[in-house]
Amino acid sequence: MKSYSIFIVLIFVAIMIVSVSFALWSKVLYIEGTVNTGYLDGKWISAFNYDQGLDPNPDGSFKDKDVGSTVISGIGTDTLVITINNAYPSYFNDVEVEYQYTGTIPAVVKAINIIPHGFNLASACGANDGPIWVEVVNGVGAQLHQGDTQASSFKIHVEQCAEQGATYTFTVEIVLVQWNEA
Amino acid sequence: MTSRKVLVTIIFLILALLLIGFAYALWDKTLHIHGSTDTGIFQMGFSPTIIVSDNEFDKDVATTTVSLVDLDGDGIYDKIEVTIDNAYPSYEVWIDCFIRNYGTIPAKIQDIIVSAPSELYVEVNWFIYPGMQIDPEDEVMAEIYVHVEQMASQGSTYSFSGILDVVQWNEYTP
Repeated sequence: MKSYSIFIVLIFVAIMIVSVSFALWSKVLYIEGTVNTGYLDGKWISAFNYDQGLDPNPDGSFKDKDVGSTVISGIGTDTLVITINNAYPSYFNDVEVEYQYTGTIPAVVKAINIIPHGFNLASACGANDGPIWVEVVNGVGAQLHQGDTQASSFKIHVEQCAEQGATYTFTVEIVLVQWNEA
Repeated sequence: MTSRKVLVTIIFLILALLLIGFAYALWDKTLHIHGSTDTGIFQMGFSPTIIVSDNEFDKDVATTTVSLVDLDGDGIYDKIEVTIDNAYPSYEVWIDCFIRNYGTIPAKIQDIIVSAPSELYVEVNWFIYPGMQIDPEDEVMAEIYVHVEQMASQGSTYSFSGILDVVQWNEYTP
């Protein structure tokens, strides 16, 4: 009987404690945030190569024959494919390209990397220490905002040590980084 | 004999009535206490003032929009909504808001809880802290700091949230 009374008293005490807790006045203030990130992007908008018939020379003149040819595809995308057919030692071409920056975050051209696949690039036009010489002119350090365009020039020369019937593939990367991290 | 009993009964009745009558005749006076309690008001919210600043000095690339929301329709703002568009790694923004005590009861900040993904760094407790007291009609500045981390992806949406739990000052639990 005594323990039963203690039990009842404890229940009352517990209810009182709970009542005190519920009596706490409080207020919760809320913060909600959404972050939408921007992006970096670009596309090739034009490309012109000087081999429109007679094969060009590095000095701007032309050879007397139309032997090699250059085909370009990928305009409107972020990858430009330049294919040279029936090339031979001393074949040269100059490809004027232009791309448009379409990203929403300002960017800077940090680097232009020429990556040969399975062969070594020649160190200079006519150096003959590699089958192909490639040079990219202009662009590094340029800052680009959405809609800006940037022109560059790709010069390609087939060296004397190039093999017959071979295919030489290389990739040119234009590395864009957000302007505030350049 | 019967009449004697009746007489005794009557006498007792008269005596009883006399006693009762004496009791009723007791002069008395009751003193009253009338009490009333007007409870105070515990009302906290954000004041309408918001100050936004970011780390873009030479360009305006990202935009931060802040709006205040009155959730319960009492005319006091309970919620801050922050929207950052076109953000990028290293973008950072400071949103200064003010927590005001609109009530009559002093308040203390009990908890500051922030939840954000790893692509964002969010802080709210640069100028406020648990235990900070806000008296009636006073306000304290709370700064919401958001930094977009390097791991943030392009073209993505990240959300963060926070709550500021404010209690009456005498019920604050350290």
